[in-house]
Amino acid sequence: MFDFSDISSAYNILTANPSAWLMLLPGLIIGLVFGALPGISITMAMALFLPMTMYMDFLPAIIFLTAIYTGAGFGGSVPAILMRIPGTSSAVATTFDGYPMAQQGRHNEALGVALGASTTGAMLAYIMLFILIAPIAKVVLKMGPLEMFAIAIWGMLLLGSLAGKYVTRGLLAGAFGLLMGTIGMNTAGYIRGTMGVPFLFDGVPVIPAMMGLLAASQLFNLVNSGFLVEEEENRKMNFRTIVRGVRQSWESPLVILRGSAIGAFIGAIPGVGSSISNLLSYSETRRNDADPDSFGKGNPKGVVGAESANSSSEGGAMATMLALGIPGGGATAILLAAFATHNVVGGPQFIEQHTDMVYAIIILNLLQAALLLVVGLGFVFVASSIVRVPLRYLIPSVLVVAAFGAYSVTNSMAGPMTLFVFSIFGWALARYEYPVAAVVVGLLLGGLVETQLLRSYQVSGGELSYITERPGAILIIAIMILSMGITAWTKKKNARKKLDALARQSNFDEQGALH
Amino acid sequence: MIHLAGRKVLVEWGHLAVATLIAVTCLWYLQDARSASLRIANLILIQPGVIVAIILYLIVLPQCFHVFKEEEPITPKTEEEATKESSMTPAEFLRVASLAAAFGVFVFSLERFGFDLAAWLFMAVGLFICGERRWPVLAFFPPAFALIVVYGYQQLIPYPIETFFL
Repeated sequence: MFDFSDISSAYNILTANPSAWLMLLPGLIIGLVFGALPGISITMAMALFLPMTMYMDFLPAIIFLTAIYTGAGFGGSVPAILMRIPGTSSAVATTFDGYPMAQQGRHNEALGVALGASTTGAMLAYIMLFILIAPIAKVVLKMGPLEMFAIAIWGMLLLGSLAGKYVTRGLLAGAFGLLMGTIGMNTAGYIRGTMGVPFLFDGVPVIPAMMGLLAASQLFNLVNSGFLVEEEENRKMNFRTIVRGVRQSWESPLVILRGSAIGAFIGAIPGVGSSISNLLSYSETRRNDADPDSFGKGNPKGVVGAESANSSSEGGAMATMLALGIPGGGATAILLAAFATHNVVGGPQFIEQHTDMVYAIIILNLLQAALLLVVGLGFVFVASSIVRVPLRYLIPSVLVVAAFGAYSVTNSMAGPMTLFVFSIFGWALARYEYPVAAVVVGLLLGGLVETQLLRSYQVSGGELSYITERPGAILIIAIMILSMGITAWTKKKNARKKLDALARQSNFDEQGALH
Repeated sequence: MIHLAGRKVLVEWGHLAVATLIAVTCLWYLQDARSASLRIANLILIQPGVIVAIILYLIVLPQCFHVFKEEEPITPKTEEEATKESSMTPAEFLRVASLAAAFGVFVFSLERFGFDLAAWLFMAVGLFICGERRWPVLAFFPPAFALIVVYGYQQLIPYPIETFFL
């Protein structure tokens, strides 16, 4: 599994390149700041700094960009917890329990938990990558459109179990989001649902829609509150509580391990990545917990599950990029561009010919995840002071920043207009207990699901028997059915337990009244 | 509240409107997609997706109606428990609606007024709606914030943004 001469050679590369080490800290800080800014995505942060890496050597350039990647990955969870604005799509599930924790005045703890889970998840993923880089390359090569379609549908169906009180409302919201995600021109060239609006030809702008659904809509509801956290006692910043939160995340090692494994595996699949892995891990954490009803109401394990998965997705995406030269998303596409500017081509040949360099990159990424714990502690302490700002300043300010962010993403008025429309829609959905996150995930996956389904149809020639030729897809579908079945069974069991408890309570009350 | 066959029916009108809007949008989308082409490559996801959405809408629909016996008294508390309609006072609802309307005007005036002026005006109106009444704050915070945000984004994004002053 290991070639020790390559590891020794990697050590030599690391000691001969002190400039690579110097890139860790600035990269992390840039990533943290940009990740925490609504509307500035990981991809945008990396793209903005890509030209700078042209003047660096190969290893420092890659490390600088991966440090931004790592920093922005965690940075996105700060507004997700404090303002219910996921800085990136991979922080959607972090809002489910992180934001309720902040509302309860447990923002210090929530940020600490997110930081602990995020750094541990990233480190575990890089350790796994270190061990499994060669076998992963073989498995990912065998993934076809049917497998990708099955994984995306699995992610969508899981929203049914995430929907909380009303499963049907969750599924309706998810189906609606999925359909909205197919608006515009599909891969076969058909244009639908655009109403003649030119910017819709490329589909609904997802990031502004996501900002509107999850953030702006929530801000409207806060108009009638004084502070993000109403109790003055709860608005206090406490470094010790943040550190305690970090330690608390380590008290759920199974959740972190499961989240990291899900994140690393899903992250390795091109085009799917962390936007599904955090939801999948959150759902699995909730399903396996003794008290699933506490999720969505401020259960720290929900934050641990989501954060460990989204941070470990980076390791998985790096595996695909290094092993196959396929970018799993925008961030790894920029990394591949950085490879190209240094005349390096990623892929199986790169691994075969430069295994020592691959190990050097993995080792430095492992160290940068550890460094994130230290840098993140300071950053979280500064960033979380936002809960002390009166909402009358915060609400219009964040709405203005969101509108500017939406404009910067689309470079047109399409962004702010989409933000506005979806903020009103999101407010209405939230008022009647529809999970807005389901619409967001549907929007994100609509195009992907349709493309993969279409490819599967073209490859199979419309023959259903094609599925029997894809054992990978059968396995994923079997896991999906099993997972949904277990979720339904657990829900039924919990409901029966509640009924029994109520019956026991009423018997007890009746006996008490007789005596 | 409506009376039907010896029963009192409390209708969640807002919920009914939201769910129906989703269903109508889905049906319109299917009709639009079918008018583009009837080929499988066009409808492979949309047609089954809309059918599933309509089935789910029909399941959700009864949740908009809360039926009570005719003799059962309906107190404001019962009404609040049954529906979401009364969870916000009219004054609170008006504040939310005012902010949403101001945000809409802000978004659609960004290019017409320039990002700096639009942000300044929205900040002033937004602060007022959110409860700020101190005039020095209303006079100085909005232009200062608009200046910082416009300048910051001008530095960050590689393309120009329309401005009135800057």
